[in-house]
Amino acid sequence: MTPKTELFGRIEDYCLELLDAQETSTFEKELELNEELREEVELHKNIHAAITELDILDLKGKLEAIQIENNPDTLTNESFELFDEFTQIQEVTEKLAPEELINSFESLPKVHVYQHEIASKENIHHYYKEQNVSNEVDVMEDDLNGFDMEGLEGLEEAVLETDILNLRETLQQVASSVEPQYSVTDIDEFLNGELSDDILAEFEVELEQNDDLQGEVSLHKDIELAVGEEDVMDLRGELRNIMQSETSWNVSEKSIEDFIDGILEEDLLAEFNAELEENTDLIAEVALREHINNAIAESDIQSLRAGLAKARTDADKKEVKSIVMPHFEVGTTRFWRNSVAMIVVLVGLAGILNTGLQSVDKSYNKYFESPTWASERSVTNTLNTIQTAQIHFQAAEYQKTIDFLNVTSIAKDEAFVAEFYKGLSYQNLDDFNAAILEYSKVITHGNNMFIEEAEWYKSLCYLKLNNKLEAKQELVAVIDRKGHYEKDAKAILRRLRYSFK
Amino acid sequence: MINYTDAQILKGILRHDNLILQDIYKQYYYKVNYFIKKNQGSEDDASDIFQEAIIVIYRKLKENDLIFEKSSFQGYLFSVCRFLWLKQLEKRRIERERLNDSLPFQEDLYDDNLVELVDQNAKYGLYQKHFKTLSTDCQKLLQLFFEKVPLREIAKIMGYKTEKYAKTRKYKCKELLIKRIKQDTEFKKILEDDT
Repeated sequence: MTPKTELFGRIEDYCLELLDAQETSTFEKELELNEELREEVELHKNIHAAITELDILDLKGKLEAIQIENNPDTLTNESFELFDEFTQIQEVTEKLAPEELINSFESLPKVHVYQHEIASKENIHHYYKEQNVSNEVDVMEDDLNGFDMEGLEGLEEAVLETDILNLRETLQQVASSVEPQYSVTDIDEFLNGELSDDILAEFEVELEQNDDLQGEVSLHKDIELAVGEEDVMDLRGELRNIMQSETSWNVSEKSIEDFIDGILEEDLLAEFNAELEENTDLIAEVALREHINNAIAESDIQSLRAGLAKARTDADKKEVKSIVMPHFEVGTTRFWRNSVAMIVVLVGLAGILNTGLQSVDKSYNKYFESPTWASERSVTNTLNTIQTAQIHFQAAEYQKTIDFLNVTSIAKDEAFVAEFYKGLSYQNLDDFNAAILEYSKVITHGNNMFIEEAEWYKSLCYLKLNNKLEAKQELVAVIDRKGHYEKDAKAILRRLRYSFK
Repeated sequence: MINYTDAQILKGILRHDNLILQDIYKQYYYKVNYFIKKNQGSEDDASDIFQEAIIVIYRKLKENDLIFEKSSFQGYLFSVCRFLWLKQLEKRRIERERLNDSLPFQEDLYDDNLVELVDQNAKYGLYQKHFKTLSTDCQKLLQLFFEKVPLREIAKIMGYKTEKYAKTRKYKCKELLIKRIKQDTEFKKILEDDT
């Protein structure tokens, strides 16, 4: 139904009081605002009133009957004799073109004719056409064939071609869901010259005409070149390591200290100030050191803290294992003084100073938390090797876990599970070298879910062994994975950076 | 602190000399960082741009296409960093007219060669990023294959029983790599730029 016929239907319903209360109220509100609608409703009411004037119609019928009785030969449709000559008037009798009718005034006939015009152009199945054949329809079609759809020629036909519209939509869906004609294997074989002659000829014809295939082949070639650039990948890796582990300022530690102490030589001072203006890392470093100096000056607070720390140590019997073993060089007194100062202050005052630096006394124990062995469901009633080892591990029987895993044969595809938990067991037993060996196997295996954890625990082992270089490398690898341990690894790296320099 | 000459720096980059790379980082990074932060970038943006600028210079060096006539290493590095950042701003649809130029740069370095190289670097960088996300055996397998090592040899190195398995595994690795690349929104942007 077109909006116009819908509207006329609504007007009719309103006139016949067929609308419900809400609809009536809405309609009346609209009626108040819309003059055009008011006129239409008025017209409808008049037509309605005219049709329902039964007394007049009755009278008219009777008069006609009288006329027929008096003059049976004259059978006309006209009322009264006033219409006798109407047939002679051209304007009244001539047939109106539909567009003239539409342009003349707004009313029901206009819509009616318009709908017929649409209907006349609908694609109707022959079966239904045959059933609807009548002279009346023919006449109507003849009348409306001249209807001028200026500028809209073909529009209706196009809109009504729903079958074509559906087909087009289906084709689009099919195109987006269908896999490309040539797989990775085919393209690879083409690039490696492994396609048979007939398939190669077919492929080349397709390649010439198919933009998507050209794109795929080009992507394969580029990937091959990109993957071959081992040197670029290595360089990128090295740069990333440098950026993560090195300080970004171009002045020596001595210069920073001299600057803070106000004894930096004039020529160096200008250079230092120039860098300090732009280098935010250097600004932060200078601020940190100044805070440390200020904190050291608070000797009373320091002694209080020392007392508190001693009391806490006495209360807590647990051994604290430091991951950081400061390395002092006798002779470099300034460095010694500063390092000791940093450690003392960072242990006690990091929170208060709000420098963002955590305590150097973060222990290995803080980071090394032996994980629980994730329980697995068994499909059989008997315990398999891994499950038995798991029971030992969960009971903290680490030596038993290792012994059991050493003597039992484990399926190759599960070996990394055993290696990982053996590593953890060794680590729990403080046998860090053995643990590192097991973790390395897990990492070398390459395709398992324990790699990140293995790297993380391996780095902790290196820390415990005071092997800073290896520890840094493992920590950088952990950071690169951007996984669960990234934040902790960064924290340790930062601490190493500030503690070992 | 040693002051390296431009020639030493370039040789150092070619050799991936850690000391030289550290020196470059310490000497120039903060200036690039300052420039990028002044122009709507972050610390991460700065380190990415700095790293990729060194890679671009390395590519130029490999092609024997880097001669400093009017420029110096510093000038060239800053110009490349600035150019890379301009491209980033363009991608992010940020106006580049209001650029706060704190880096000395040379407009005449921005020729077609550099544009092409930077585009290629971006594309290859993306592919390499996804390559690095593959398992180590997949990476090794693909590398051996691209180095034209015979399949029999590859199977032996990788510990596979048959050549056929090596081939199948290689296809799977490559398929995974291509899938990851295609899913990357950056790849779609690169495609748009190409067309």
